[in-house]
Amino acid sequence: MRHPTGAGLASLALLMTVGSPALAASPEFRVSGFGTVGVVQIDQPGIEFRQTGQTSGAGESASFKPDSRLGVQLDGSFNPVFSATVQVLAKHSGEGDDKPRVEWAFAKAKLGGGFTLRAGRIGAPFFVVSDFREVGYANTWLRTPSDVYGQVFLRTVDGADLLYAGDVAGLPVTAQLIAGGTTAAFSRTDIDFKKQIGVNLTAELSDGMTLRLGQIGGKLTVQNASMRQLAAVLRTTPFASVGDQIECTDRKASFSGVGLSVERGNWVGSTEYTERTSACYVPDTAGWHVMGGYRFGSFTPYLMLSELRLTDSNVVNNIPRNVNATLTTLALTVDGLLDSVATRQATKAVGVRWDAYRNIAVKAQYERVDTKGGYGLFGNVGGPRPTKPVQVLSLAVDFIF
Amino acid sequence: MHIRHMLAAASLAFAGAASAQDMVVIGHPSAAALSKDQVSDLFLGKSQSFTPLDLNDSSPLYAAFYRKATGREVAQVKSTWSRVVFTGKGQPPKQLADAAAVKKAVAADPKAVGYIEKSALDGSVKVVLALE
Repeated sequence: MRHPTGAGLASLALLMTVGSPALAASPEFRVSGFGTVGVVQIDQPGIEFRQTGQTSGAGESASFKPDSRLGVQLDGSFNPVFSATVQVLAKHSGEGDDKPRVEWAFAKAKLGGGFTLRAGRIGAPFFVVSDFREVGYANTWLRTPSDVYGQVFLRTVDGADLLYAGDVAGLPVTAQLIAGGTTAAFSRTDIDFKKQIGVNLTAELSDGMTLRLGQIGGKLTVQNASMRQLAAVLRTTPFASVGDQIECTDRKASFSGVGLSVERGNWVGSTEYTERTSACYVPDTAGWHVMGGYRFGSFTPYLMLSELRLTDSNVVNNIPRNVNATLTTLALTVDGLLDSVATRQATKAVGVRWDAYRNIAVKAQYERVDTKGGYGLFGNVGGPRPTKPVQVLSLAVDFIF
Repeated sequence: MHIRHMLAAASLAFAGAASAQDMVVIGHPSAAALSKDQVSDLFLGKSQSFTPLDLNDSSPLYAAFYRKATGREVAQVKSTWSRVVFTGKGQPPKQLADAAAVKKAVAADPKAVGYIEKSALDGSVKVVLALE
């Protein structure tokens, strides 16, 4: 992030200005927190298990990097109308460090009639589990399934949203309209997702069963120098169209999803289907997951299946490979770029959550990840492409306070 | 005879245990009755129409109340509230020390709803739902 706390400070200033007239009404503050201490180990050399957006992860020796994190949230309520929330999260990041960053910082106004307006840095509603995806304790699974949640590594929007909560045709529903932009960094590449407009709808169909529909669209810019250089070179050749298809500055991109989550008696489950599209070299993908678990006292074993598919590379590489060395090199460079962003994989996971104490959950999860001939979402640190499913073993302790 | 005495003693003991668990959901003297669903929604953060008040989460009454009113175990309740808190949508009920503190808070606020053991009930508050 070029200005990691810019939006945070702006909304802090905003909440101070909206808060000050109400200070007489005795503001109330509450501090809450969550965290995970987790280790992950895999069984194959030269690759690393990472959560999308992280620059390093776990290999054949166990690592705390992928899952360990700590979040602290401050909620301030100034009067029945105005409140504000700041959440700071420390997690192994796309910049290779574990520094705490402002995850959320927004001011909120209850407008009446079930409407709420928020402004500042807000959680981006891309998924069924968006806001509390980092709160391990709030979820049955050890972590969100990478095959779905790994498609987008932006978690927040700097902007505003309008929320509605009420009953429609006897069903409790929520509706959210959101607008704003995000900048995030991966290694030294900045990724901007600007001019976002999104809608997120949920309906509680029956007790404990919630349906969710959502879509966010915007303009994507990937500040990747080698990609831009390649596009520029291609534009000087007869294959300029290939360069145009690769180039990723202010290109349309969207993320859509439908999901269902169930919590009924001792059963817990969720499923979602999501699609990512773009008009540049970032490929179109589809990701889905199905998870089910059953609570036996304080133990909840669960099973999960998920898959990340590549639906369109968005680039037709029609550069001939046997005319001359220059064209062959260009064709192979384009192939290499597309291959680096082509992430396909399918995962079978089994795990258990143990509610060890009233605010502590202990989890274990075992996964077999078929990377479909490539590296999938694993980081390549000089190892061969896996030829058999990668086994991933994870242990985590989640807590809230 | 002997066995009959033992059975009688045992059933008295069970009755005693049961009545210790008998609790009531209380509101302001001006409050209307609430249904179990309304109480459940209130204490799980789904409804903001009243201000719920908790007992300390280490008290046995806390676990018994949530089991009876919402059908959920303490860990599920904590997990549900963590979803509400960490979406910035609300805060769990304030925890008060004992029945006397709950009665005092409920008697003072027409919007407050709490729960206490039935034996601690007095005229300062009104039963809005009985849980047996």
